Amino acid sequence: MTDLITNFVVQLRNWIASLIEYYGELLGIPSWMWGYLVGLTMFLIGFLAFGLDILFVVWMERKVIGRIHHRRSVTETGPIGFFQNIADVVKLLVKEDIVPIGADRFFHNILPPIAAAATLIPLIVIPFAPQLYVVRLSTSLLLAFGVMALVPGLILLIGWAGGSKYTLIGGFRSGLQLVAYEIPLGLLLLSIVVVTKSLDLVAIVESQAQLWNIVKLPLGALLFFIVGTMELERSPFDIPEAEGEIVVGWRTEYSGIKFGLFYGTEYFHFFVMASLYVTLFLGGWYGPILPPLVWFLIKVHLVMLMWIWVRLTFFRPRPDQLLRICFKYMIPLAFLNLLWAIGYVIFFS
Amino acid sequence: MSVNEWSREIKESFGDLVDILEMKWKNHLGIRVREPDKLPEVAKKLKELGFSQNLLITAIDWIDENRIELVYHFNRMDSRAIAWVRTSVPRDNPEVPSIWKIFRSSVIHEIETFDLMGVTFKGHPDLRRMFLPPDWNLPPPQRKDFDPKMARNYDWRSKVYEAYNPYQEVIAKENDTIYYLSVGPQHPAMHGCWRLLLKCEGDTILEAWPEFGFVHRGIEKLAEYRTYEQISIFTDRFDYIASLAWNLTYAMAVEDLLGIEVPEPAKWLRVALAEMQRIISHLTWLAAACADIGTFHSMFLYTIREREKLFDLVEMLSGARLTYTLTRIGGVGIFKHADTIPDGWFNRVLDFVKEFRKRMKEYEEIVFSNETFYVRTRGIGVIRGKAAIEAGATGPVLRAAGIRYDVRKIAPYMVYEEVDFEIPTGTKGDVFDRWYVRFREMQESARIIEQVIEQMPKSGPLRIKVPPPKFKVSGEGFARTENPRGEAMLYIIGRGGDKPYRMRVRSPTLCNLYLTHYLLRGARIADLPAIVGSLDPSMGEVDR
Repeated sequence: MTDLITNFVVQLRNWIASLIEYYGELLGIPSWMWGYLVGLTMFLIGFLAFGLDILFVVWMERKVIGRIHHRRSVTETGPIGFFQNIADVVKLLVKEDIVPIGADRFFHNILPPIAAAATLIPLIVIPFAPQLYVVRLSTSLLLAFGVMALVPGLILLIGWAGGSKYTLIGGFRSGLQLVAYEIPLGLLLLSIVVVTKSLDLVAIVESQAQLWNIVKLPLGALLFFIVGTMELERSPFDIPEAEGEIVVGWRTEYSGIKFGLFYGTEYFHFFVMASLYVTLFLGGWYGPILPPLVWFLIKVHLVMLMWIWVRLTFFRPRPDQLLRICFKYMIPLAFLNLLWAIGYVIFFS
Repeated sequence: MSVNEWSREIKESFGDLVDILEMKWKNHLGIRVREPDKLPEVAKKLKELGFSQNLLITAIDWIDENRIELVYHFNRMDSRAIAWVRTSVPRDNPEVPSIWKIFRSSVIHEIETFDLMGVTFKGHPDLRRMFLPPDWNLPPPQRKDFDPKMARNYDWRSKVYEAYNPYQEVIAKENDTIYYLSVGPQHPAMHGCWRLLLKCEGDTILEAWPEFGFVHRGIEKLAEYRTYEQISIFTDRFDYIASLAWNLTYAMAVEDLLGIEVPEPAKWLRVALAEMQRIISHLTWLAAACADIGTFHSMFLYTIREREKLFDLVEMLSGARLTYTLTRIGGVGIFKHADTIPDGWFNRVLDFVKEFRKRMKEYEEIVFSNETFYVRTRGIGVIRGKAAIEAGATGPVLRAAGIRYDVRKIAPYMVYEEVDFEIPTGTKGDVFDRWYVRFREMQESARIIEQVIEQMPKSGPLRIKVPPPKFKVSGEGFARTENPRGEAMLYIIGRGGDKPYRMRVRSPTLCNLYLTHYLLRGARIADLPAIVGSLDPSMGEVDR
């Protein structure tokens, strides 16, 4: 029962492999390419499922916000407005792409896909179920967060390439935000490593079989939630975007599918961050009765729901206040959490 | 001190240089200055006598006599007295010394008069084209010899582009670490079409120049081509968020000109409507101001929900939901009699007030029990006490600065004397205090509405008919009211026709928004929406 979905994925992979072997021989494709083709096909299937989930998340966010706002949100396209996002994607695809005169044309074109890719890379190391991951590395935690730290740098470049003062201010704010949250984030990851004694995400999840990390490190879980909000640049820490101040900041000069890619990037990032939160603190795939993948997805979506919820009633701090929050409160608290983790390892295990 | 003593003192100091004028209104002091060059000295004397703000500068083009008359209004913070200083300058070379060093609040009025009437103010620090393109070569548009047809051949498009860089020379001279940021005309924090040019270093704003006039409609000039009843409809469009308030100001000014008194029930109903309009306006402000500093529009939809209910109530009387034209000359709306007010209207208003109180508690919890709100609004955009009076602030902005000044108390009109309410004031004069004052004002308005509904005579005439020939009077009409955004004044001059000779409007928003010039110095870029939002911009009123 518990291995149903994993079995299905494995069966699917085997079936695709045999299919490619058969047709590869038939069409004369060299045999060293078969493995890559299998990987590519699996990637496309996975990405399709992932994209559908992202569309669901966007729809969920719209509906939840609408409910809290005391309004109906999307209703017209499809049942309860479910296909509105597909309509939006189509709209963004066919919109005119405008490159401003002041913008750097090369970077303006090349940066949006790079940013989208950078947010997607951590997905390869996230374990969705016991055998359901792309690669297992002994240092996958470092890889995931290392790649994610690239994103603010890319945003800075994106802001510069936009060729407007507003986009540049937005980019610099993103860099500033990275400076603010990176130290507490590192300390929090360290406390996880101390408790689980591993840098491997699969091992980290396996170590939570009896007790989840959120129970072992309650303060750490709370701090990580806040730091995650900062890393995601979601309200109230949407300082680089700040609609009222710098008119969605670094995205201002990008239109059409480039804007669509940024929009997608935001939600890829959202999903990746939520799954990392689940992996690090909420025991990954563990849960009774239901298959592991289902448990994992349920937890991820609940975490995302929490992030959607906090978005709605907090006022946005100023950039200098964000620095103060991080340096004055978050870093000492993160150290406290680290001490707690060391104490936990010494006294309870 | 009374008007007599002030006039005696002025006469003693200036002798033959000034005439004391007989005023139509009690408590108003009228002075005619014979030599325009002596104006600053008279202004200085008035300041010594306790007049603290220049409310308005009106220029009237008497084309038959080949002169332009300037009328300055000065008000006091402690009594209903207003000083009128009149002086005349020749039409072909109108020049007067600026009084900005004595009354800082005159800066924006002098800019406006210069721009639209072509009067040069000698010694003004920032006399520039604000409402017109910088190289405007036609006659000033508010003069009598300006024909609107002249502007048809004017090449607006290229001129607008030039107007976009008025500080080009300044920009070239400065060093590299300083940059200029143009905020607006299209920017979400601007709440309309106006522009702030910021001189920034890093994240700090060193200097800010506000610029208005992007949607100027010239209603003051337009009014000279319309009859009194027709103008009433324009007054809705001054401030589309608080249209009834301007209706009331205009109706009061015309009634003053005609010398008619409205019936008693109409007075009460007008007060109730004006207070409902104040709540509508403040709710709209709250919606926009919350969205500005980042609550992702949650409050926006909550407050708009309350506003809709008020719209329903006003709709029952007027049939319209935004621009009502409900307060008309001689009474209220289409109703001749108080008995004809729809059944249950009064009860519905009371029900609304009850529910509104409950909702206000909720909103206060959302805003004032939110730590992030304190962090965001305390200690920014500070202007306090005398500085606020000097800069020309009125309304909630002035009260947040700690000055207990409200036209409803200082110079009560309609039935405000008979109702009981308080004037909320702030202490620190920052953005937080302005929020607090507006919150409290909404609650006080609810109190006033309740009292009015209880005490109002429920029968009797609501409107007296003013036959068209009666409008053909010559003279002056003047009204000042407390609008949601500050002190509104309307000065109207009739010359025997069925159309006014000149209409002049004091827009409180224009004066309050010019405060950004002072408030934004040293603020952060991130504070800009909070500060601008706390001033409650409504561009329809600025560019009337």
